[in-house]
Order: sequence, then structure tokens, then C-alpha cells
Amino acid sequence: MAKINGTLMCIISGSDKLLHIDNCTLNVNVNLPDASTKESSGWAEHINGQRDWEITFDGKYDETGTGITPDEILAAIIARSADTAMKFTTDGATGAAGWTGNGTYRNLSLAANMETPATFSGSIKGNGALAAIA
Amino acid sequence: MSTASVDISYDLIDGIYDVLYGNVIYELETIPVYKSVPKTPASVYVLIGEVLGSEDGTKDGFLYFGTVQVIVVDESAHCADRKQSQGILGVVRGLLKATKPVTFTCGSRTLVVFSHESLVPVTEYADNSVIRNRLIDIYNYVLE
Repeated sequence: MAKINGTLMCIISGSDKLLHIDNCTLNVNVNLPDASTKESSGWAEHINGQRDWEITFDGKYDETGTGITPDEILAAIIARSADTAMKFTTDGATGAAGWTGNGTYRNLSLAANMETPATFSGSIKGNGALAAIA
Repeated sequence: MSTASVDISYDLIDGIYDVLYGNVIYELETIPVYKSVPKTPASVYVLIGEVLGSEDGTKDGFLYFGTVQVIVVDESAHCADRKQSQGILGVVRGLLKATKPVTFTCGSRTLVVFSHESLVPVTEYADNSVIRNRLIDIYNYVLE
């Protein structure tokens, strides 16, 4: 069975990689509204409702580097910037594999505990469909 | 952060040495600082001990963390009095951590965190009645 090293998986926003990340997660959900009736014989039934997706990430805070830094994400949130094409990909160089969709930076948290490297975490909310990168 | 994995031990040892060498002055005497113990060491000295660590970082770069020992060795007395070695240890701590957030230069590397973790005092008794006091100060480091 082929395993994938999680280090390879990254987030690309537009054409730039999110920098200084040590963990990223893609969450995809579908709402399942209840459709149970008296004819359901006591079993819960549902229909497939709205889908949504979100990417969460965290890392070591650093202001430098060529790509998307935490400061740039913060600036995008403050400016209420437009969506960008997001990729959750195993190919950091070209983004040629994985998943893509338009997303909005939803939040960013900076944490600074004493005598440890400062960290950041944030999320990207999908705006519309998520699709596999062909 | 470095993009290739490296051994940072000697950068850290050099950094600590540069801070301490010639500056550990106790009761008007400059205490020798060693990176490794010479064949005929002074009876009182500071030794930069073992560097233990691992790597951390992000998906793009390496960050190194662990502990380093700074040891005050006192073989000058025939009793287990630690007053002198503790006094020297105080000077060493003041040099390495003059203020809470201070870090120092380690060659081309950036010392992100340098904080005191614990102290291990060791007293050894030899057959010839020479006593060796060792105060092993352990510091946490995060280096990139």
C-alpha cells in the first residue's frame, strides 16, 4: 500500500504556497437533513444536503519567505480580500495533484507562549465547489 | 530555517563558549571555560557539556530543539563545600541569560529560545580525598 508523507502535502493559494506550516487538514462535509417519517419503520433516514469544505492549518510564525506568510494572511483577512483558488495538494511545486476550490481566509491566530517558538493557526473556508485536480 | 538537515551541536557550543570565555570572573579571578576537558585542567573550570536534541520545524525547513549542559567543576577543595561553584554558576547564568528573552549568536544560526531547565548537583569523592563538585546546569534551546 502506498503511503504519503504528510510533509509533502501543502496549501497553495493562487500560485503561492502557504509558508511555515507544520500541519494542514482538509475537511469536507455534507449536511444530512433528517427525512424520517412514520413509514421509516423506526429507522432514521436522511437526504443529502449542502456540502461544504474547509482547510485548517498551523505552523511556526515567521514573517519572512517567498510565498504566503502568516502576515499576508492576516492582511488578507483585514482587507476582506476576494477569494483565491486554493489547492490542497501533494505537489508543492506545481499543485498538479490533490483538491482545489475557491476559498476565503476565515481566521488566523498568532500564539506566543513563553520560551517556545511563536506559532500560528488559521483556516480557509471553501466558497463553492471542491473538485479533484485532474 | 535551514532547508537541509544539519548538526547544530558545535554551533551551539561555540555560541555558549563565545559568551562565557574570558567573562566568567569570580572573586577577581577569571575562570577557564572549556569545550572539552584538557589533559591537565584547572582545579576550577566551566565545561560546556553534552548537547542532546532532535529536530522539529515546518514542512519547508528544519528547527532544532533540545538541551545543553553547562557544568561548573570544582576540584579545589577537600570538603564538599559548594559555595564557590555555586557562585561561579551564578556568574555563568547571568552571562547566558542577562534578561528573560535574551539569546546570543551561534555562528550563522539563529538561537530562537535559550532557557534554563534544571540544575543537577553532583559531588564525587576520590580515594585521595580530593572532592569534585559538579553543578550541571541544563538549558533548553531552540535553534534554526
